Amino acid sequence: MATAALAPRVKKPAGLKVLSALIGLAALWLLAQTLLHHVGGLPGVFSLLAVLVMGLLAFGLWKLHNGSRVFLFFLFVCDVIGCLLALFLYALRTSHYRLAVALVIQMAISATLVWFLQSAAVKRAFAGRNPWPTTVKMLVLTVFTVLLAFPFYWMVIATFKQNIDLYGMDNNPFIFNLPPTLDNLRLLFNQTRFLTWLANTAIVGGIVVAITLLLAVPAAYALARLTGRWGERLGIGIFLTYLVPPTLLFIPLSRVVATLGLQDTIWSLVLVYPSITVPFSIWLLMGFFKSIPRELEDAAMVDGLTRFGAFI
Amino acid sequence: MAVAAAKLKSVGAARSPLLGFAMFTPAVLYILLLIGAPFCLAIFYAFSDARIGAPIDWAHFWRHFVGLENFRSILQSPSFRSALKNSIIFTVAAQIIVMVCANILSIALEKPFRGRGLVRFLILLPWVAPVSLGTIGWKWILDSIYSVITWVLVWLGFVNKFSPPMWLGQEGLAITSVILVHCWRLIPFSTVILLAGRSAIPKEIPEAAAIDGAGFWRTTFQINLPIMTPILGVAVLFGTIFTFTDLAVVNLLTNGGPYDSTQTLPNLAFTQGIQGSDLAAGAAISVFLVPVLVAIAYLMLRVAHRAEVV
Repeated sequence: MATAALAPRVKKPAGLKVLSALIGLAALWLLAQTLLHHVGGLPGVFSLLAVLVMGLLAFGLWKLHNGSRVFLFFLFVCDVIGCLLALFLYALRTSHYRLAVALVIQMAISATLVWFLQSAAVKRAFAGRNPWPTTVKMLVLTVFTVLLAFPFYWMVIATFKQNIDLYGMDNNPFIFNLPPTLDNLRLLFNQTRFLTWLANTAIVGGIVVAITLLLAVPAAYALARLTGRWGERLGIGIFLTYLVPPTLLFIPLSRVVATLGLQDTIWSLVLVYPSITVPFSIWLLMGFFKSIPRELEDAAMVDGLTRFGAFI
Repeated sequence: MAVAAAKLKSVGAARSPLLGFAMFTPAVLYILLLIGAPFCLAIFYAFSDARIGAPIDWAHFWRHFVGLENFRSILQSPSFRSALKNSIIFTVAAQIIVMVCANILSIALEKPFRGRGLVRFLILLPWVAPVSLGTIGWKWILDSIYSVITWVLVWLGFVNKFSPPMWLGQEGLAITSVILVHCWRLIPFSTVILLAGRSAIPKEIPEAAAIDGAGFWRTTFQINLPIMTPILGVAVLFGTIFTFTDLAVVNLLTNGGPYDSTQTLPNLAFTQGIQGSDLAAGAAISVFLVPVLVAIAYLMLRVAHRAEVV
């Protein structure tokens, strides 16, 4: 870093000036379009966002911020990939040649800009930093985030869609084709016993957590501190019970629950869930208690606390 | 100081065993009653003729003993063979995909950058959300008529609108779908474990390697991955347990269909043992999970000892 600061100010390549000016002009043009045509609602918000991003990019590029350059680089790389995919997956397969030519031209422009943004002259202006590693990282993260989070986006958007919108086969499933509605939520709250179910979940969850803490905290503490060699063996035993699959247990447990007369009540859940959570919590808490230095407790006990007091 | 130490010792010796005993007995009792007893009961059921509605006469429990009859009958059923095969295929395939993806993701997420919190939150969602919720979402996404994937493929002109692929109704596609849903759920979990493992690598080693001229690939494969082997082992073993014993995904997505092509051991045990009232057959099927889990437990202990998680 020090050498970069001490080095004589590198001249800004002319191409960069032109590029940032172009992006700035494009931002202004888009802003004028949005305002003059009174684009309202979501499209308006999106185009204003685009104006903001473009403006920031132009400014950052002018000021030689590496972040802006990498982001711009990333966008152009995405564009090249998108064009390639569209060209081979759609335009050429369906013999849509005008579209194919347009895609090739767009790809050529983006590829030139990609090449320009990582060329030696620009690199020098940005203290010799290579944009590729960050860009690849961003690509990877984008792909994975979209794939992993997509079902949740899907669930949220489907919640607020009208039924006709969901069942229309020609509707684009990624957006609202008809205005969003609260009908589905109304149905859930007014015509089903959703609130009861919610309360059940909360009650079971609360009691299970209480039981688990009551059983697991003392046990974990005892195993981590007090019983030496035996403690270690017991700890391993408890860890192994965590591995016993619920599948193996649910058949006999269903009989146990039936014998106790608890079937079809939430108390059966309260009884059964801790058998999964207790071993896990003991195992988790054991590691935690082990990481508290023993000396701290010893000091407390010398000062007159009992072992139980030290634990609390 | 010496006096204090002596006092401490006497206090510790006098109180510790009793108090320690009192502290972990409740938990151990609970575990024995609700894991140990059902475990033994499951094994007894596997050798008995227990049915729902025909209660076992405990005073003469030996009369219900039928030897290996249950095992003979399930081994002959094609559903069971397909379930055993699928359980293994799902587990192995999901683990391979998950390990590759989680490694890539953990490398990308290692260094801090702006917006990492948001990206992490989005990536962790599949693991944080309940299994059943995520699976129901997928069931809708993989629907035969209203599937988003089909819509995209139709839009691109790959698929005829009037004969869409049945994601969950064709053998090969159904198997792939189940594996992918398992991967979707496990990638976040493994990524978090691997991130922890990565942050534990002493910074000096990759730096020294970089000075010696090692590039990205060499640092990854010859330095970082070997150091992370124990933690990779932990991730694989946990993932194996989660996939191998998972009931929710298969039960909600395909319920074993079409024609048992996605049947797994837990789902078969559930459908036969609880829904089909044949407790004995269900127990016998689930007992087949035990050898695999014993093997995993053994490996886990060895690996865990090295990774110091127990």
